[in-house]
Amino acid sequence: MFRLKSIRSKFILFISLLILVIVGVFVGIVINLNERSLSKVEEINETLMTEALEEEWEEKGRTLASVLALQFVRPMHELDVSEMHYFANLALEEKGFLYVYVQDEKGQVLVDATDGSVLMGSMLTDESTKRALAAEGVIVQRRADVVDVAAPVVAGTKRLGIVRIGFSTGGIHQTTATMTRQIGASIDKSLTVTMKLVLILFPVIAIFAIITGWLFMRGLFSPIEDLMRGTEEIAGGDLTYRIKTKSEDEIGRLAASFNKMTEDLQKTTVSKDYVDNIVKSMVDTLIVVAPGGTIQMVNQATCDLLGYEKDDIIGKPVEMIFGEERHTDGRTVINDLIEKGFVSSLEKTYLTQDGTKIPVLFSGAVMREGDGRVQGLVCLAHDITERKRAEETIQQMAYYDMLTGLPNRTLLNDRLTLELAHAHRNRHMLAVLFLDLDRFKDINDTLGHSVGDQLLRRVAGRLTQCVRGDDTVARLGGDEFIVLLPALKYTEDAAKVAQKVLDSLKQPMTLGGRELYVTTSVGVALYPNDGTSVDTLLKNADAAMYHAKEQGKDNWQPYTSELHVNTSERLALEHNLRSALERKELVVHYQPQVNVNTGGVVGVEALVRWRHREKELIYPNEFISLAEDTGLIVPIGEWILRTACVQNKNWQDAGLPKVHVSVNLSARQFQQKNLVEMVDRVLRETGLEHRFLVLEITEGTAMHNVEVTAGKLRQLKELFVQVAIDDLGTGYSSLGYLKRFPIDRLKIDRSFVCDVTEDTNDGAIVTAIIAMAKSLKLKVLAEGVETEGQLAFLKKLQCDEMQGYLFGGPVSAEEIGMKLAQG
Amino acid sequence: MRKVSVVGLIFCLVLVMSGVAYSRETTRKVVLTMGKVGEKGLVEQKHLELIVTYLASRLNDVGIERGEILPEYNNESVIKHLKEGGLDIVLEPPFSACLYKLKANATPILLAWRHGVKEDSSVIFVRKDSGIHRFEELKGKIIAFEDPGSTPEYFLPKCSMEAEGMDIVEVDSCDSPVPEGKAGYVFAGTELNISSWVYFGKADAGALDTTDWLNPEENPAAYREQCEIIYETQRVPRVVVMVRAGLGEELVLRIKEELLKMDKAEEGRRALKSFNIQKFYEPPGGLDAAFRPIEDLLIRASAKELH
Repeated sequence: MFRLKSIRSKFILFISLLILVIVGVFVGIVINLNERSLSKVEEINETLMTEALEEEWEEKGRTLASVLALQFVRPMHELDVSEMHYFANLALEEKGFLYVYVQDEKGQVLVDATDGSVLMGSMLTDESTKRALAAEGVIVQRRADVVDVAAPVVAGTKRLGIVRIGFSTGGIHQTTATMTRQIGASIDKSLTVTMKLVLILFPVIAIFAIITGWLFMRGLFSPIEDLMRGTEEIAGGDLTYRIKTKSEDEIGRLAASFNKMTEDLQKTTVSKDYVDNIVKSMVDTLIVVAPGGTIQMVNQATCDLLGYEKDDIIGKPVEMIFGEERHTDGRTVINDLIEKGFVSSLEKTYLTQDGTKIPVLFSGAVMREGDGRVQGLVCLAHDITERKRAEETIQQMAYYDMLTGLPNRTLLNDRLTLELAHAHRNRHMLAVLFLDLDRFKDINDTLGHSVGDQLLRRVAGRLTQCVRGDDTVARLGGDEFIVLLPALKYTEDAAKVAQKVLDSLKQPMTLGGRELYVTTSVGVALYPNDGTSVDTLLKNADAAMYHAKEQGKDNWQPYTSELHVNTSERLALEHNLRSALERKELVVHYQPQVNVNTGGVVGVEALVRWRHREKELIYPNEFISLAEDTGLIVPIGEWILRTACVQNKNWQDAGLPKVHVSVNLSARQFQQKNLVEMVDRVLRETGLEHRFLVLEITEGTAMHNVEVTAGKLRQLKELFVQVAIDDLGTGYSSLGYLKRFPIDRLKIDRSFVCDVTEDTNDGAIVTAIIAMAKSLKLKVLAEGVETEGQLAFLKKLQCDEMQGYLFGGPVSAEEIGMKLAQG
Repeated sequence: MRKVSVVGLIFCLVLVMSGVAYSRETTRKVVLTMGKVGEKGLVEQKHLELIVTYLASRLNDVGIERGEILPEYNNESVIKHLKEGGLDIVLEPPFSACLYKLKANATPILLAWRHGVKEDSSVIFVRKDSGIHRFEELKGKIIAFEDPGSTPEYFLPKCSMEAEGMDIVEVDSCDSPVPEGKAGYVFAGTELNISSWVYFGKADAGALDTTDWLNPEENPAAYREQCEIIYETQRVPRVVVMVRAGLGEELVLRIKEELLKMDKAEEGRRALKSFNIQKFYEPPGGLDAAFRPIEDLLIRASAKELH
């Protein structure tokens, strides 16, 4: 710890010695000054004090003589020697005074206050006496060691004599000498005390000096030692070591610079471990190949990717990874790399231990010696298996339908374009079959999307089975499919395929435990007769498909020029419907609903009509579907609702019997989020009591999403609005669901009613519906009642209400008003 | 008005308390008082205090607790206090003592040695160059006495001179005219003044006791050399110890007893020395015998002081 040769030890010794020397010199100076000052003090003191005391004594003598002179005026005048003697004696008691004389104006001694009073009565004629007698005031005379002070005694203007006081300066000298000795002794004593203190304090100071030196050196050398340790650590390779000193002196700055240097070194210096860490932590594979083609080094990522242990690879030919792949000229990747110096981003495959090929993005560089000789090859590769898969997926998603795996519209367009080119080049025909499943929406709504999706996949499979290998079956979206038949020689070939498709799809399908029957409508367009471009062929095939739909579905129709006209008409109809509301061309007719037992009108159903300005009255079956497709059904539906409510309120205000008015809600309307708010707002704005409104939704609409439907129906019920399920029996709903709906009544579809007396199945269905309604305590209304037989049948089943031409068709509001007035 | 009443009441209470205190003093003697007449009284009284303090400390057995000095400036005041009982003991020369006996019925109990002598006489002296050589030649001259209370420097020489047939009268000052056939006298106040006045010619003659005549402090050598004695009186005791009439007999006996043995004790000697007394004594022939010549002198002289 304490090494004599260390700078610390030398500094401690140096500082300690320095402090001791300074203290010693200081003490020496103090002692020397003390001695010198002592002699000087003695010298100066004696002179100054003598002078000062003499002055003081002289002043005292003057004062006393003056006082006595005044005091002695009367005694002298009266020759009261005794009194003068008394006071003179008192004055003489003053230390240092030798005599007090009182003399008359001639010099004769009246009072001699000295012992024995030997001079009393004698005449003094010496020079001092003469000068004293001659002096005007107080006179001071010195002779030898005696100072004589004389003051005249004057009574008015008469001079009576003098008072003389003599004192010895010998006493003063003695006093000053004594005081000087005392001062000297005091200083000597002080010096002695100082020396003792120095002797006592010296070891303390020495210890203090050593401790101070040690502490100072410790403070100084601690960071230096830290620096030494830091240097050793860095020399040992630990670049993370930092000096902890916080001082701002030179050493602190040195430490900061050291830390900065270490940081820089840490940033710039690469150790083997560091490189190993980098290599080890690499995600990509690293293979270093010797110039001879053997593997020299691999990283862990390489082993992990290829399934080897390092020892299995090192020293082996690189071909075990790169494979025997060669260019056409017989050169290998290694040859290319050596020649070019580097390659980058090459897509290559690596061979795994089990022979699997893994796609990689390969980059390589040649390491050379200082003389240019090849030292080795560094090969980096990034596994792009996932990327490749993603690319394939993207490819699939871009050109194929995810649900069915069939080519999508894009791929269809490509192929159609391609086939058109072939057909044009080879003078062939090709056919485009446009398929749209019949009533697929109902299946989707009633059985759910999952079943709908399964159906679509099943249809795709059947379509694929109906065509040749070179034919293309594509899905455009929804329930629309395209079958592309290239290289046709005869028109009939297309017809055969179309019929084959119809027949195939007509076969029942079992989905989700249900057996479904699906039909389709097919439109056929031929190249080059019906179009020469992709768009034209597809559009015309579509038009043909619509025509097939119009022809009762489940058939195929070829494209004809007339179809082109129908398509145009449909576009015109859509345009007119958009402005029909603004032009107030829509009107509402009302069909009465009567009580089976009483025959009285209990309600009316609002049915919209379009009074086209150029055509006759258009019924909803001609434009509601279009309105649904275009979304116009939402504003039209609200208008119908508002009109019906206003009308019913008017009837009631006119004093007519209060009946309910039924308004149909389309599926799209029912799905509107603000339906309940809209209904509530309309009722409040029109003033119709809520209970006189019946909202009818089809079975298919209700079953589209049972949970949403139930929630929405509950909200409507909270408004006290009545709800009826319309067209009951046409869908695929489970009657069990009906229990979950807060509904008021059921409407049996007219298709069951019309044959109820002839078709036992229909009769059974109607009977079951009415029985179920009764059990659910719902009212039942039968639509399409046109005959007495139907009436009798329904009445027998205790159907509550009926609607049909037997009781009156849809008529204007005025006519209903009159009917209500008649009761 | 109310304040006045309160002050009056307090004053009355103080008087009553004082009366009580006084009555106690009269019933039991606890303080012994001693006095001395003279211009130098303050100094001498201070010296006398040591004697009375010593004496009182020895008289505790007869009820004396402490001693006090009663400052007096002349014989009249001494006589007054002796009569009233305020002054118990006086130490005076025989003429004053005789006066206190006659006027205050004081009783002499002891005599004392003072300045080393038990008896002394007075001298009349003049400057040698004064032209006066005989006692009779003092007529028309002025003599300097000390003060009216001084025995050796006034009573004794004056009475002696008068007894010798010299008619002597007091004059205002040394410059005052002297009646025909008579000698005038003035009071110089101190012995030194007496000798100085004679020496410097202010007075024609002076009176000193023989002790002072030889004392250079009172009569410096230079003076004495220039002067001569022209008359000397008879010798009389130096100091007489008198006690007032009415002082308890036992107490008087105890005082006398303690004073007589005072010179035997160191402390007593120190006290005596301060007053230049060597010892107290009883004259072999008794005090009356010692006192009689003085009384005769006084009677023979026309001493005004007796009246």
